[in-house]
Amino acid sequence: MRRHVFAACVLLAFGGFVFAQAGRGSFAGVVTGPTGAPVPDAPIQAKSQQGGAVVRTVTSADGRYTLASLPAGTYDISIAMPCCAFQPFSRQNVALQAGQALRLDLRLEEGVSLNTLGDDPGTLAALLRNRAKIPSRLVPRLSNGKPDLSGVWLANEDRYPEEPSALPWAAALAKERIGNNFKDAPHTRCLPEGLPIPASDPPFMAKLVHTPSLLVALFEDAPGFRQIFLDGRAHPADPNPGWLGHAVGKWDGDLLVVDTIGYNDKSWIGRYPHTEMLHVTERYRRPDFGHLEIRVTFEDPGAFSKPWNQTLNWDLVPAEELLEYVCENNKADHLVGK
Amino acid sequence: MRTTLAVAATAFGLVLAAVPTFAHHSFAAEFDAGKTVTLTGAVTKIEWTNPHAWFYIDVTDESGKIANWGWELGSPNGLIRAGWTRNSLKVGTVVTVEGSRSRDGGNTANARIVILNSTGQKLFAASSQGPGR
Repeated sequence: MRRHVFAACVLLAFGGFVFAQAGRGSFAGVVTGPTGAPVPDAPIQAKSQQGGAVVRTVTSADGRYTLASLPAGTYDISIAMPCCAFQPFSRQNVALQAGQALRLDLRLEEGVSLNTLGDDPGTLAALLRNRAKIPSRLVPRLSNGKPDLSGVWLANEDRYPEEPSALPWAAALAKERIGNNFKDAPHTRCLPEGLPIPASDPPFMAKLVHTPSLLVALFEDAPGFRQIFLDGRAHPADPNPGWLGHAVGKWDGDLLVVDTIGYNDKSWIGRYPHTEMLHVTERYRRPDFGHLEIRVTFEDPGAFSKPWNQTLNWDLVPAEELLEYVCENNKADHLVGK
Repeated sequence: MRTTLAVAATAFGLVLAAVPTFAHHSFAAEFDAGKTVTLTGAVTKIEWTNPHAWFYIDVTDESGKIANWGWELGSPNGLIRAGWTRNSLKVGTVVTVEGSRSRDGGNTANARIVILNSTGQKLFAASSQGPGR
C-alpha cells in the first residue's frame, strides 16, 4: 500500500516523466525556439556512443518529447528541423545513468532563413499541405503501364539527415562555408542550388511531367528544367559538365531508377562540395497518389569516402501551380562573412 | 527504485551536426538577427521581384529628417502562395515594420512583421487562413 502511495506521489510530482526500468533511463523535456516558444513536430534523435544505436521521436504540439527505456550510457542528441527556420542542433556526450529520468530541455537557435515574410517555409508548407485535398485514387499509370509520377510536388527534407563521410578537404570547405554564413553559396549569385532537383522545398515546389520516353522536372530556379531520358539512350562518352548533369532512367518493376553523371564541380550539396566525378542515383517510388519517395545516393570518390544517402519525401500539392522565377533583382553586394 | 531529475545535461557542446540540404537564403550573411529595428513610415517603392521582394519606406525622425529604409521580403512566389499580391502594399501607405538590421550597417533590414497602420492588419504573413488574418 505504501509503495503505491509513494509511486502516486512521484507521478504527481514529476508530471508524466517515464519511470526508468532497472539499468535503463530516459530523456524527456521541452524543445523551444529562439523566442522561448515551444517547437512542435521537432524530430529528435539520441545516438548511443556505445554501439551507435539510434532512438528517435518527434515533439508533441506543446514541444514536449520523451525518449524512454534507453540503456545507461553516453548519447549524442541532435535535432535537424526541416529547412530552414532553425539551426541544426547537436549536444554531445550526454551521460545517462541507470534508473535516471534526465530532464533535457533543448533550445533551437535561428537558422539561415529565419522568418522572413514570404520565406517562412514551415508555416507556408503547412498551409499548402492543408489545402492540398488529395483525392483517394490509385496511382495513375502511363501508357506503358508504369507509374505516372506527374504532378506538382512539395519537398520535405530528410528528418534525420545522414552526414557524409567527407574527405578532409571537403569537410574543411564545408566548415568554412558555414563559418562564412553561406555568403558564397550558389543561390547568392542566382545559380542553381539543390541536388538532384533544385528548389523543390518551400516556398518553392517542383513539377514533374512524365511521358514514357521522358521525365521532365520543372522547378523555380535556374535553369528551370531537368530532363531524365527514359528512351534507353546511354550517357555521352564525354559529357559536357553541367550543374545538373546528364540523367537517364530505367524501370525496376514500379521503381524508377535514375542515373546521372556529367556534373561540374560548382554546385553545393548542402554545405559540401563535390567534384566532376559525382555520380547520383535516384530511386523514385510513388507508394500512393499523394506521395513520392526519392532515395538518393551521392557517390564521389573525390569528395566522399563512401556513398552518401538521403531520402526525400515529396507531397502532392495539386492545388498549386509553378510560378516563373527569374533572379532579376539580386542584391548580393552587401553579404558579409564572419 | 527512485527516479532522479537533473535540470541540465552534463558536458555539452553546440556543434553544427547537419545543415538543410537546400539553404536557399543566406540570412546570416546579410542580416543580424540580434539587431532588431522597428520603424514606421510611408511606402515609397515596391519591388515585386525574385529572388526577394523589397519595399521602401520614408522614416521621419524627431528632428524632421527623412531617411529611406529598404526592407527585404521573401520570394514573391512564396508570398503569392500565402495569398498576397503585388498590390497588397501600395505606395503612400503607412506601415510599421519590425525586422533584423543588415550587417553592412546601411538603411536596410529583413522584414519579419509588417503592420498596416490604418487597420492593424499584418501583411505578408503565411497564416493558415491566408491574407487578412
